Amino acid sequence: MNKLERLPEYTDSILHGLTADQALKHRILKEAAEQPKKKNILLFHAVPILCSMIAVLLFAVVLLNELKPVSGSDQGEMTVFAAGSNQTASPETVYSFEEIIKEIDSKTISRIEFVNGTVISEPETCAVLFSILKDKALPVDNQDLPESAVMTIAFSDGSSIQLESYPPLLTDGKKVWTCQAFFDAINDLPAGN
Amino acid sequence: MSQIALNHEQETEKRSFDELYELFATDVLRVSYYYLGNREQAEDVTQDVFVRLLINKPDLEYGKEKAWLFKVALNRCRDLWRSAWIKKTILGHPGFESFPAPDELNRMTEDIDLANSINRLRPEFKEVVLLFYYQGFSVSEISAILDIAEGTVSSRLSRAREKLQKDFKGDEKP
Repeated sequence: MNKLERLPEYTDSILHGLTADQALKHRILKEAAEQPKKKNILLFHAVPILCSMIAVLLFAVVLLNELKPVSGSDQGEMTVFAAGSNQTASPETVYSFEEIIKEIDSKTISRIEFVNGTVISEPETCAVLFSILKDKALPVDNQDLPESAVMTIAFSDGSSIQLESYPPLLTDGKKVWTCQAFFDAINDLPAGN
Repeated sequence: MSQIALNHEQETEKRSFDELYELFATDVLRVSYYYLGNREQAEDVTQDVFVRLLINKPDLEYGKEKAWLFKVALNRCRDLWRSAWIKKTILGHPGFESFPAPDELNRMTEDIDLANSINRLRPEFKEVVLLFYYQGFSVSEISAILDIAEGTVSSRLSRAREKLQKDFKGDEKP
């Protein structure tokens, strides 16, 4: 392999005319000087593309929301009515307290659940509790309430309503109602109901 | 000046772009040319390597600059080689053109044969031969430049030598 060991010498001979000259050096310096400009140009192109993509995504999200049914109350379908007074086109339909009472009045309650795990699943008991709520709930001045305690009222058709409840208070998100009798009745229920 | 003091001075010294260009640009250009067999592409690779040196300003230890330059150059060569693979396969690999000094025209047939043989090697063999025999890097330095195990470098060198040996024998046949 003498030939290989003499490769540097051979290369100097056959590639004698191939050298990195001043012209190449100038090319390099010029290219390096233009690099930051190129980065700016790339950035300039990237910004409108990114904005367009975000706009398309936002449009898609809005469109999907518009297409979502306001409420689905087919048999067996779970519909959640969240508390609040403004009706919007969001997946959860927001009702005022009065509308919730009206909604409850038109249906048969099958179950009342509290976030702490209490479940009342006897329909007759639920009906009694609702009649207390309907008759004795009174609006009170707005108060700051935590957002963790939720009461779910499920109906026999599969739909359900959620209210924030803090004994003796309930809220639809805008107005606060008090109903001590309702919570007393729940507390007086025998265990296991 | 003591050896320790000299070494310390070298460690803290940084070579300028001009120095690095003068010292290594021709080597980078020629190795790229061996690799690609195309002068324009070899110049483009050399340009890319030194532009990157200027833009990225890597923190290179004294004496390690050459290894960095060849690492970048060979990566770029590999990219170009891969992108041109189909073209080469269809149109055939370009011949190795020489650029001799005017007074050496008559005595370089053997040199060109060697260059052509190296040029015909597969890239992974070409790389180790050029770095070891042409640029004088050690096996461990080549291992670091190419990101492969030292054993792989040795085995590729050995296989490349075998291939070249066969090629030379073939050339010697009448």
